[in-house]
Amino acid sequence: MSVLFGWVLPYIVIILFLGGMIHRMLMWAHVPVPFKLTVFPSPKTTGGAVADLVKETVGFRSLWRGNKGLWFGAWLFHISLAMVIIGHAVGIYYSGHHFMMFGSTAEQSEHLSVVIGTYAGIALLLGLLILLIRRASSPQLRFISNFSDYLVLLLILGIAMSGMYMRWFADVPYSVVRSYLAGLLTLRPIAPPDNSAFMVHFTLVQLLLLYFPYSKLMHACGLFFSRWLITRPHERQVILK
Amino acid sequence: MSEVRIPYEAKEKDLKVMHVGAVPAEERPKAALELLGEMLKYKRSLKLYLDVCTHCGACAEQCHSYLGTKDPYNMPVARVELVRRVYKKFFAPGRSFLRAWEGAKDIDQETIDLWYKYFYQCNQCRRCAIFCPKGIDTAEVTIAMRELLAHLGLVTKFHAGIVKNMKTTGNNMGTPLPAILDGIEFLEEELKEETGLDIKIPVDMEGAEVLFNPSSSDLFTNTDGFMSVAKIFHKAGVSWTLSSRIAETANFGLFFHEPTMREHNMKLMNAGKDLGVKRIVAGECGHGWRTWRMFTDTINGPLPFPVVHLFEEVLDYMRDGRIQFDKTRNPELITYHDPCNYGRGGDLMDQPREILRACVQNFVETTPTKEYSYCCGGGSGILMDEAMEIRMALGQPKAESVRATGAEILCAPCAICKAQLPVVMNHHKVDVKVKGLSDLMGRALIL
Ligand code: SF4
Ligand code: SF4
Repeated sequence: MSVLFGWVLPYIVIILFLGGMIHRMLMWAHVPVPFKLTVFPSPKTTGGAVADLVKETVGFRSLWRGNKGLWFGAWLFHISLAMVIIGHAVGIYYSGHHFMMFGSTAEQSEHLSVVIGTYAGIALLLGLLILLIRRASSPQLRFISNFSDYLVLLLILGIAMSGMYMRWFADVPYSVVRSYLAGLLTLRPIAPPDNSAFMVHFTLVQLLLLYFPYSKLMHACGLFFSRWLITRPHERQVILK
Repeated sequence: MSEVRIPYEAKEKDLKVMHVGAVPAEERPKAALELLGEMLKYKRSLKLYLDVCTHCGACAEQCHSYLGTKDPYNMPVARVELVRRVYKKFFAPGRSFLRAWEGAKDIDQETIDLWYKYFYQCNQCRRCAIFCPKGIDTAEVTIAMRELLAHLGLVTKFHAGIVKNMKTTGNNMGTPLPAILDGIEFLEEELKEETGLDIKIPVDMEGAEVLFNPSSSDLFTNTDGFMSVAKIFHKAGVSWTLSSRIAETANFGLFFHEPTMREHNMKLMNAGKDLGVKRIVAGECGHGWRTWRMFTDTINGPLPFPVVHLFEEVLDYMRDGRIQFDKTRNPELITYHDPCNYGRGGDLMDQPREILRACVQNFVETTPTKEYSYCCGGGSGILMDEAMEIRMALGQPKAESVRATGAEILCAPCAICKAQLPVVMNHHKVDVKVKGLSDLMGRALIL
């Protein structure tokens, strides 16, 4: 069982995930854009357009303009998700000792890592709940929601909850996860951590990655394509004095 | 859900000018799929927009069409969903059970009826694009879907008539050349009477500096605005001309038929080349302006001259001191309506305001304004009488924002807005006069 879930599946999943994602992006890139679709006011230079894109991706400016409540839920969710993902990468790679770079002791670093991780996890859960409740409770939102809109939220909720469960109730040390992932990455797989919470967490993540290229989650990549269409800088033909 | 819909009554013979034939009802779903497949290959916007929407609903409350009708299918996301579900069924990647989770649905005649109904209740105003975090511009989808419907032979009688008029006479109203020339002579006499000056309105004058292309409605019905422009050119000492081949800046092709749009664009550019002018100046029309400013390059390649808007031209004269305004001649409280295709669509927000401030005494902004401004409700050419009920509902948010200013004059410098807004204001009992910016400039101009 753990051979299948721990050794074979991860490789298949990562190939399907990356392959599917790149394929979708190439498909977009291959379709021409016959007309300039800039929506004004627009930036005047490419640098300005990039700055615009950054403000939008980091600050969710469009949502802020129209709907502060949705902005809060969506922003909280996305920012804490980003923190959690970065935290996983750094925390697991350095076994929680990364704050030693800034002069803390090993113990302080591990503690800090746990505290930040816990708060980010709580923020993530909160963001998810806000989005889920919003979707389920408003008649307008229910009208425009498909099964997959709920499914994606529930899937991420499951991932976040199993993660938090590990943090609070089933301590899986960074180092064990680290050796397992390192084994996978160097193509010398070792047995996955012997912990059912970890296996649930890890399997749900894989399901999400499998679904990613075929779902609305692709907005994470598509956003840059679609926003570029309307923020493309436009030079005035006539420069007025 | 309202049951009102705009009838598609264009007859087979009216469609001929557009080179499309009517597809029999039972064959439409199949033909529609083929057309959609084709469009997905050359419109990146369409494909992206069908792929990246997350159903977050941020656009819903920003669409005046939804606000005015309360019909859930008029939420931009739901409007596009009518196509997206077909896209998910037939074109999206992934296994079919995954696509079913995303709302995939088969296409039938009812789907096409729904498309017709709801893509003709979108004004292509692009307000949703400002509020959508993914930058989804539903107007693009509406343009594509109306094009698809046109290829099925589903066109409103009003629009088919306009395409025909444009082809035969070079203006949307279908006025033949002798009548135009008569009208121009009459306007010259009027100008003489009013000002005592010999202000000419030249037609087809070779080597003129400027080719001015007004909306035909300004030329024939809202003549005050047009005469103001003649006065301004006269005062600034600019040699200018009209073209007898085309006297129409409103390009209805943009709304539902790209070949018509391109042909129209080419017609004016060729007229400009043949007359050897230094620039083309476009008159008051929102969507026409968007096609001149944003699409001309794609359609006609590099041009020997720029295409500028009347307001840019006037601003130039103003800043050079070639013309002056006396603002005491416009003492009323005046507010400004941003035509969607000037503001969001065509980079023309500050220029008209600078002119307004120079020629009116009391200016007040609406809330919301500029890129957040609501559409008049007549955008995308749904100006037909058959659509009156829808038009009034779609104009409601604008009416409220104008009412709140307490303005006596609403300056709306776009041919469609000028046709739509007086009716809307009257219907919603907002006591305000609608005028073009040219009218106000003409009143204030010191000759
Ligand atoms: S373009 Fe305007 S009318 Fe059309 S869906 Fe968007 S906001 Fe509504
Ligand atoms: S705001 Fe954009 S992403 Fe959100 S539902 Fe509307 S179109 Fe879709």
